[in-house]
Amino acid sequence: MPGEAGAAVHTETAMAPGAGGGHPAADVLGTKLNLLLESLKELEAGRARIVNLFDGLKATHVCPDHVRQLVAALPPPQSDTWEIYRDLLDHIRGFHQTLYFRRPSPPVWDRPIALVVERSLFDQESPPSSEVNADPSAKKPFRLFSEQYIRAAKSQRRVQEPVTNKTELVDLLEYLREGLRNGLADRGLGTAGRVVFFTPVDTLWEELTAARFRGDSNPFPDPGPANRVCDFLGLPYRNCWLVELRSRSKLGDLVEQGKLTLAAPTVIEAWAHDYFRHWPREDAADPWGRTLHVGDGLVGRAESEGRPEAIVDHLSPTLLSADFEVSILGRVTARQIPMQKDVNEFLTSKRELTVMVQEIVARVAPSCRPNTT
Amino acid sequence: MQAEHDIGPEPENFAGAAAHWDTAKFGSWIRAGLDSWFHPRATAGLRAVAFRPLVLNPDRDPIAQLVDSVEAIPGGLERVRDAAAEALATWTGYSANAGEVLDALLRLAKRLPTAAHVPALRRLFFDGHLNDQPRKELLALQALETALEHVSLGDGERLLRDLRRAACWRPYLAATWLEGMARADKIDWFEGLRALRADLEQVDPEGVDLRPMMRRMLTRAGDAYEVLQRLKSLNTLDPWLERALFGGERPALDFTWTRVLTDKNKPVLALVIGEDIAPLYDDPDERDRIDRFYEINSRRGLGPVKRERTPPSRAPETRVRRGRSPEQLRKMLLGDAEFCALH
Repeated sequence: MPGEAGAAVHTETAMAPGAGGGHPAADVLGTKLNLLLESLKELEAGRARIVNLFDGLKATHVCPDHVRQLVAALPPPQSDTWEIYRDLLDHIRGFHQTLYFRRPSPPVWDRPIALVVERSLFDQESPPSSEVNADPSAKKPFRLFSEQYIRAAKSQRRVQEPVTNKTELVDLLEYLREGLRNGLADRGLGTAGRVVFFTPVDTLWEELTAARFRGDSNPFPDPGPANRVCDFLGLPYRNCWLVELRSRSKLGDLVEQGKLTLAAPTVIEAWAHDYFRHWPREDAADPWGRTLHVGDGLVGRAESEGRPEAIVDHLSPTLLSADFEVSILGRVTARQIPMQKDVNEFLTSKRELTVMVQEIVARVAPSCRPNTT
Repeated sequence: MQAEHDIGPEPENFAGAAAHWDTAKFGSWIRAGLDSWFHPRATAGLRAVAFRPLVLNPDRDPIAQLVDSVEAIPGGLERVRDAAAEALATWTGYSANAGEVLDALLRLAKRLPTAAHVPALRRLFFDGHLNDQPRKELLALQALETALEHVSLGDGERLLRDLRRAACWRPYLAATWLEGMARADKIDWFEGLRALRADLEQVDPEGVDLRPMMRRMLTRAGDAYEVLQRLKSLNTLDPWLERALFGGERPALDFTWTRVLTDKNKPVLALVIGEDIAPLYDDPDERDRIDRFYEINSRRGLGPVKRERTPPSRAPETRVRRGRSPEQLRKMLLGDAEFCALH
């Protein structure tokens, strides 16, 4: 891709008070960061984040200035590790306008893209937006469909669940299609601090989703393909129907039409995801992220590296309605999914977590010598 | 497992901690977790650690994540089942997030059914606990779906039958109740349809939106001959019922043409449900009732030509329609492309 190698453009954002290199304030920040990372180390979920942050910094996909700014804004470290984790995630989300979509050289793709979501996303309870200044409607529980559409459909029993046969699956598909056409809530996908992940529709994706259910003429899908999609995308879903939203337009047209912000993901945007891994690790030329392949409870041990992935900030209801078609990829079984410790182990991959913590501190607060005891 | 490289001492681990929890501990964990998760001031960070020592994805529904995590603990799911029943039984609607918490508890109860849920559901419906909730219609439907998961229990069936006659009954519950009870073989679909007809019409005045439910119910009923007899027993097949049963691109009930082998291969109309068909054999005693179906088929317009089917062997020869002259039949079928296509 033209102009991508070494194109990390790190905007020098306004430094928070007390942050910076070369003076005692840097030591303060470094100490704070060190305490933060040591606390994260105590949480299973925290370890994968440390590795991904390390890899992102090393690949110059995450900017030290931004991490510095984030750490400076955090409240003083507390004794409760959970509260530290809570504050960190809230600050990442709170600073999303500064921190998100900073990875340089976004991918280019001249074909459609696909989103894979759980069936429950359309009409079941999901958390509201946590943006502090969000409008009141954003504070309500999130569903892709409007409450009016859901209420009418439920009272008319448009869908029978659990879905056990083709007749019922056709009803589910029609319900989803109709909802996408006429029943979307006014928010679309992706809100402040919550990005939309997608994968490019390429030959492998066509192959993985060849058995997707698009109507009455298709057979009732076997569970295998849906499980395989989850494996390739590193999704922890179980016991649910998997839905694909595939764009009709090419990625470039979609970005232009929807005025979307596009990038490959870093741990900053993916902080909430247990199975995220930073890609590529070294200063390689891949402009995409790449999911962690999981399967049979194992992580990263299959032949494949997972799927290319990238993120956009928002898909408006208009864009979703006009440009995306729905199909059902199948039912995900009670498949085995990897434990967090297995993910940690794979991501750490014979490297030393303690050394990574020191490296992160050294990169973010260069003058600080972290406590290695 | 200690890795060969340095990842430090084992961090706090949910499965390890919760393995020793009893039902009461799981109960307080669920209640506190849901209250935090749905609290009006909850942030993404708070949701992520609401169920500590479990870290959840704050952007997904918590119930699926919670159940998946607990499933990894031997015996954990059964303790959560009991804990969820207790939480549902003691739920009150006094807080701002009470509705969201109840919705989550109902989904948990639906996923982990137990007899202990039935009195809790009865309390929700009959003690007016849903009345003050802003989304009471969706909550009531969720509670009904949860109750239907318990219909195989005697108390569960009683609850559902009582609900149908209760003051808290609302028309928007009718379709879910009808399909659920028919699916569980607790009511006859046709009797249920007749009994709930007014409620169903209120929910779908055009007779259009209930078609998927009608289609599923009739597909399950399956026996075209039986369905035909039921429909013939009605004095009238009014426009609403006609639209609901025979309307749309994928109607619940369809027609096809077949031939009466015992009557000079005469073509007759047949009712179709899935792969099952019931020819409308002539019967002088029921001629008016049979004519209704020919008229409905004519009103459905010029549909695509359907393949010819062999009449089911159960159709008795005595039911072969003999009373109509070829002229009468031709007049009745005039303009019907399907008929023309057979010739």
